[in-house]
Amino acid sequence: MKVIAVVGAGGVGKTTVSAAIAVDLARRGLRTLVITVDPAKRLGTALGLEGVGSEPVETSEPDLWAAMLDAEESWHEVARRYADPTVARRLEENPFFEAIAGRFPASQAFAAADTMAEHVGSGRWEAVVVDTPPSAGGVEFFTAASDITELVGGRLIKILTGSRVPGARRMFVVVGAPVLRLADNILGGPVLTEVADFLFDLRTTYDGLAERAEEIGAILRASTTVVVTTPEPAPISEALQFGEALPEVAAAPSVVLLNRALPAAWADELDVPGDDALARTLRGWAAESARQIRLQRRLETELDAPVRPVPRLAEAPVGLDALAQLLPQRAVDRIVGPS
Amino acid sequence: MHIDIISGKGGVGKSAVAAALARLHARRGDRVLAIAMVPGGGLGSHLGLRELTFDPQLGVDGVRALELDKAAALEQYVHIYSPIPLVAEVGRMVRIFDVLAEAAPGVREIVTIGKVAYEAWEGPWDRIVVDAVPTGQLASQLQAPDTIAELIPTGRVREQAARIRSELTENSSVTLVTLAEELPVTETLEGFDELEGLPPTRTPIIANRLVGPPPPATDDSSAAAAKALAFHADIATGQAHWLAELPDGPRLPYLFGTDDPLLVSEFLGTVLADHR
Repeated sequence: MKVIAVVGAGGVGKTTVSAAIAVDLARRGLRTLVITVDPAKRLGTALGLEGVGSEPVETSEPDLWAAMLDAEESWHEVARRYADPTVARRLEENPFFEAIAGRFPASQAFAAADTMAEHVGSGRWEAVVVDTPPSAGGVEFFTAASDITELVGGRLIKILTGSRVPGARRMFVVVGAPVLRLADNILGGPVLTEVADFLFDLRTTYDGLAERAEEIGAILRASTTVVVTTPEPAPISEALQFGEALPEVAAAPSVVLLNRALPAAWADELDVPGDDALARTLRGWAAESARQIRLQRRLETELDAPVRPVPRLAEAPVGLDALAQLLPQRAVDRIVGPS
Repeated sequence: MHIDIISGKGGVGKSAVAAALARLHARRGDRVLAIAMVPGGGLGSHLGLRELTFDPQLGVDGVRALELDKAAALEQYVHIYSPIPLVAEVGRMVRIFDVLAEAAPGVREIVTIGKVAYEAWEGPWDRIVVDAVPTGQLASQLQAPDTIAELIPTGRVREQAARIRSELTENSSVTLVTLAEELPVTETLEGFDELEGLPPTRTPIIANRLVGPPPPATDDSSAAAAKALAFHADIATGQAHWLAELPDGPRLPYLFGTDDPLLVSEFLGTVLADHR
């Protein structure tokens, strides 16, 4: 069973790279699922599919299936799976549920990790590729489950009641209410009281969530992490931040893919003399190629992982065969092992 | 006083454009504050600052810059609006807000956009340039005042939200930055439509990193040169195609091989000067 987590800033081609890895795994005969967070049409276009839903859909490639994340649906699952039926109903009927489900900071990341764990545990797949949600710092996907468990499991209650023991609602009302009334005085209206009520109900999902967080942690520590970046400054700084935070939460990256890279040979070949427009243009490409070589070395040193350039294409790859050829063999070997 | 909100899909050069605009206006004599809405981005480096903090720091060309640290913003917010005089109680309140604001719709956002508005009211600035969240999250930031108004019937936060809304309506504009490629252009146009009806005025979309048509090859060009020029032409053709989808607006060049973020913001500023 192979689990591959693909991380990186938004816009670096994570979805495409995830699909390319998945196509490769499927072509090696592994029954493969790729999970994406992006709107259906993106993965759809890449895989030659029309629509992808939260249920896995078979692609035109044998052994390759695709599924999309639904953060909101994941929270309904949490309520139904981990709370008793009465509390679950109350949670789902709370006016804040929809709003909260969609906007917890780690909501999408948790949904991704939870969906991944669900599929990894199902026994249906030999390989699961997760295109992780973009997030500042990139580690959110890896920490979401424990973050949310912590949020649900005590921080709030501890502040409100001074006790970690999940007690009766009565205790919460007695001890917590004066503080909440003050807070509501700032906010206006019973907003925080209602939200606290909601979180208190959510508290009963703690044991289930904690178990899930353990499970997710174990899967991630045993998974293969692939960092994707482009040579642009913003994605690079995110990749570097990720490298700092990763060792605490998951396996060190197996490989860093420098997507949309120029040929390294251009740094010398195009460094031509002359002052005409042609020479200046060629030297521009030489300078850009040289910058990318420096960048590659820096990534290699700071992330302590091999960096593999993925060539820049004039147009995004369309169709399965183009996807299968996107990643250089040396990069694929680092990710899925030599064929 | 004007608030310039700069947004775009991740990695399109938002921070560089925001810094370029801040420098441009500062050079023209404005007192400029640049705000990074997301910590850890590139805005500081484009202004010659190693690290940004919640307190404004002096960067190049006299631009001051800060980044929104959500804990610090929340603390300042509670300090300003708390009805409780005791400092110890404020600390406790901040902790509660910190947990609950994660769940109460609009609260976190109002604290963030509220800091921008607060600087507009209380600060000495002629112009505030905001290096904002990516386009996908911008609408929810800008809608925060309305979200609050819907959820909260009365009270300080609601009054605050209404004041922020009118500040944004009267004195702000939003500018999206994009690359001339399929996904960025599609998402930017969608984002541009989504911003319709929200408080800031929309200004023309900026297209960044354009290579322009390549010069013709000569007979003695090497094989590598021919390949590079063909590649250049492919990119230029693709960019021209996606540019045609965009309404008119500023066009910024690709800066080949430039490592130095200060050079980037300076150069982009000189191009943008023609549009401001």
